Amino acid sequence: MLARCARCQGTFTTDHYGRQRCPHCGSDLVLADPNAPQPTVPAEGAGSAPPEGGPPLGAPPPPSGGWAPLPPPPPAPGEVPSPFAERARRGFFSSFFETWKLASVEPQAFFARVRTDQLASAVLFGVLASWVGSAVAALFGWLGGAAWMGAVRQAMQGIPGERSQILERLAVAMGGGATLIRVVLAPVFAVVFIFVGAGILHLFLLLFRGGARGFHATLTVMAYSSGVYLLSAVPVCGGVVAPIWQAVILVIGLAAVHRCSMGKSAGAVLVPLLLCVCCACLAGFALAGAIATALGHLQGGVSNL
Amino acid sequence: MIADREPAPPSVERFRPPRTRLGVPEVYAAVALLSFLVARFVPVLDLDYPCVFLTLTGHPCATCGMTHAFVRLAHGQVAEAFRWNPLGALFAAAAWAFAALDLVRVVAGLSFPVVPREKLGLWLRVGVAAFFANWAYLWLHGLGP
Repeated sequence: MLARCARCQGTFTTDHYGRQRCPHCGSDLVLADPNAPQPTVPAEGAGSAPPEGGPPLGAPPPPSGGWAPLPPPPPAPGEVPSPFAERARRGFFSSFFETWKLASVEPQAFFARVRTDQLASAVLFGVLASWVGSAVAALFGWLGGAAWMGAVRQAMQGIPGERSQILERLAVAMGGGATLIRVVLAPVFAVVFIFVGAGILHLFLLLFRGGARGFHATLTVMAYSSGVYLLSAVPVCGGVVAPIWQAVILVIGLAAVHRCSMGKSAGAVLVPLLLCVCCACLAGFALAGAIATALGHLQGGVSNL
Repeated sequence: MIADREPAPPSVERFRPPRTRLGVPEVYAAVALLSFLVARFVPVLDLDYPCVFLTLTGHPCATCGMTHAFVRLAHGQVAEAFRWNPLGALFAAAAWAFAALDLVRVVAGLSFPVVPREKLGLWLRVGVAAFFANWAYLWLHGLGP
């Protein structure tokens, strides 16, 4: 007979009813026997059936205990909208921070149940969080950078060549005009980052045979995980913590949403990330070398006075 | 007399996205269009940031020359774009062609073509092979025209 997985909507053939595993996404499912006797309905008041799809995300757990027959094994939990997708009903800020908390602190539970067809809400959430984080970080960078760039400019006078040019470009990049451009263009960069990042992640997931539920699921995880870039607003450590935290959420979230192993999702996240981190580290070392040389020249100039 | 007929089995319908709705492909088309506008009108080559991999090892990385390829192709210098980075030039051409075709698709109200899963795996393997072949070309040929 032909069966359809409620999770990934993939069809497969099977010769028996009952518990089985979907060959497409690997999730456990129960194929009900239509000839089996219907379960008896419990008496009114003894217990109420859970709402379809389980309780909404962010709701308190139902009370346990009481005298009642043991309920049948619960069906596979359905997908429910994220709190931010229900912002019209819940309120904008409360739903935003509720979603942020769920996606950042409980990614396993969140991404296992969140609906993957509400992309507009997911992308809007990621863009807003990234925008606020990067705008505040840009303002902090402008205020803090103006102070020490004066000293670096003095040091640059004694440095000929390419390193001086690098520092000159750094000074321009930290100016007020560049900061304003960064703030204005931050949402565009956030959209590009989310979509291009999701595309790269999904390609690597397909290479590792892990993207069973399609690109929308990957994009949903990428968008909601970008919410941690709100931490970029925290001076000094925020910009360092956010990418690492996002990588952790991506590994857990992709495994949960695609019902694949953590190894596959870790490979899909870490292989491109390692390439980027290696390049970023090398660039950081080069920049640190240039700044160290500049400071060395500055010290030499002071001692010669 | 009308004979009782068995009810028709429920028809199995494949999910098809709505035809004219703007969605994920249109966002990628917009990103591709943005990359064309940047390559055509923003002087990105003036930034001239050196590749760290190239500086440290003396060999180009897999994406070295990609910016030059985009910019040269956006200015119509096809041969020069392919000399800088063949895969980058192909990627740019494919991205911009996708943006144009998607615009036509939306205007004409056509449905987005669905790539079968088996062919997707084949394309992935071809892409990985092309990536390494392109890198080998850059190592052997050197960077630039």
